[in-house]
Amino acid sequence: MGRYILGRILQMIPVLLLVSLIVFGIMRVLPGDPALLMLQGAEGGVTTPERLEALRERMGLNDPVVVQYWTFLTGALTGDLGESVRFREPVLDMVLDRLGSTIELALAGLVISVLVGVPLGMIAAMRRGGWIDAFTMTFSYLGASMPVFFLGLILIYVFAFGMGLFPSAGGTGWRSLVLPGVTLGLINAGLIARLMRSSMLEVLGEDYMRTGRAKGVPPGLLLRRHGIKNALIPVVTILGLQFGNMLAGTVVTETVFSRPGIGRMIVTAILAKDYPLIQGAVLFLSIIYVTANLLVDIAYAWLDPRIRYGD
Amino acid sequence: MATETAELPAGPAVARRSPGRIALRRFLRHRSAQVGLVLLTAWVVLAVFAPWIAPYEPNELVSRARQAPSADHWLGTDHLGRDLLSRVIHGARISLVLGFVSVIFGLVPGATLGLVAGYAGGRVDAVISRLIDAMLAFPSIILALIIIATLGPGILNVMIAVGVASVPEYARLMRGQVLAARTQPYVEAAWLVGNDPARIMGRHIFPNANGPLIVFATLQVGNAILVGAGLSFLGLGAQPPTAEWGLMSAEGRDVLARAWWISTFPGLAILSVVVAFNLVGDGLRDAVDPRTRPA
Repeated sequence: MGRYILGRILQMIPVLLLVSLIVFGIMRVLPGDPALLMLQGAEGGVTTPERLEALRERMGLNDPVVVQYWTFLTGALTGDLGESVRFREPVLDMVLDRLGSTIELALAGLVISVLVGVPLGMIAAMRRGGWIDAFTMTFSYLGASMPVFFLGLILIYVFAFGMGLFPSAGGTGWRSLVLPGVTLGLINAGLIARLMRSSMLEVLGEDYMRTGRAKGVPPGLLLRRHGIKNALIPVVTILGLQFGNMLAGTVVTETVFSRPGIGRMIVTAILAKDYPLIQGAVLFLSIIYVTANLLVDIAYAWLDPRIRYGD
Repeated sequence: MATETAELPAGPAVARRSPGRIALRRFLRHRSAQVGLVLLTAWVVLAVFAPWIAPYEPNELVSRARQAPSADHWLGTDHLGRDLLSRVIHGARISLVLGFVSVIFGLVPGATLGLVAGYAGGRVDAVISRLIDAMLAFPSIILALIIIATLGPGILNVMIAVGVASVPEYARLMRGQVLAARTQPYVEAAWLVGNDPARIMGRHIFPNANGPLIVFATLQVGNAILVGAGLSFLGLGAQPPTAEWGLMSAEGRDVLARAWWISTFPGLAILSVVVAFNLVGDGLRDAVDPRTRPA
């Protein structure tokens, strides 16, 4: 197991290097002068050649590209992601300030999607063809086709404006997390339910389940011991992917619910052409995503020993 | 003199039973595909004939702002007093074009990369595969955001961003198909009779490997519409006064408590179009490969 984990960590290095190269590339492939674009974005076009030159120097734009990349990479490794042009604050501080809120939301979404999706898929498989099955398939279809912002607005209208149960925007504490978390969770629960259903159907038809039934193992015990654990394997593999979907979903959800997170910050940074902030925030999100996938692979190897001895 | 006409009742029947026709028939009999096709056709008709069907111009101020749905304005009026029904109908044009164009922007480079990587193998494959891996290391909306950050907001840039963000997925899918097809006898035969690689890829491998690609592309149209609308909602896509569904939903957000319809009807429009594409895509998948049919 230790060797497997080490191997997977080593595999992350080239991927992260390429990720950093792509993120670094944002500013370099811009048509025109990034410093000028930024000043136009930040100061509404009021700029002087001196300020432009000062910004170019400060951002290292006068150096050769290779040097710029090296500075960016070593900076990122030591926690220096540069400074926001608009807010004049270190990018890392701004990202860290908002990280908690974003992770909180993504985790809440993930937990809700699992809590809704897994039981729904399981029951649908066990009552195949019944109304719960039909409901699950419809639910999963709507989840896959529903715009995140639309579901968010519906929930705000019903539960914030209508019933006054939760705040419609901003706020702190668990109450402010409920509606955004449910929004993200429900959108993704459909996929989990669908996957759990087909995986469960497969497991229910396996020889070991039939053997168990033939031996007279009580159905509940058979399901808990052998059924659910095996049916969960494909669900666990996509949790990494799901966490990525959650992080991506936070971009829209945070805007709908006016939550101070990284996703909303990236959108504001794009609108303000604050390139160092975009770069830093995107790099940070990507690292979290890659790490989450690593953790999922490890969990997968733990659940299914064939993976870690496979190659 | 008995003229023995070769009675081959199977002849025409065999001709009719080509794999494509079998798949088409299976597709047309697929219940959810039928629902999807009807829904999709309705939206396409609305989009194509929007100027004739819509009661008003999409940007015309026709009445007081925020009027609730009524006989005069079936879906009500928006925050400026424009007819919402007309805007939703016109919005179909943008969303459908966005869906198809983004898919082309993703499919063409993605399939080409996958085809080349899978066929060439070796170092070419290694380089392309690493690039695909790196692009897949981003959640696709983040990749789309990076591209928009580079190109700037706007509906065309959203199409490019959503398309390019899906390139790695097409490339990976196509590469897998090509790797499976490459060892088939017909490819070896084509090579042995002296065809050049480009011809083998274009004439033999691609047509035999494109089934799953078409299915994925169809599902991707719906996804592109969804992501595109999301980006417009964030202010990164279509700009006012464009009648775009995501943007329209965003415009209704601030007056949601007083005028729920402004955000709701564009949202429902997106939902129904995406459902239509997903139904059609699933129907296509079952028709192309009945084995994948969910149990």
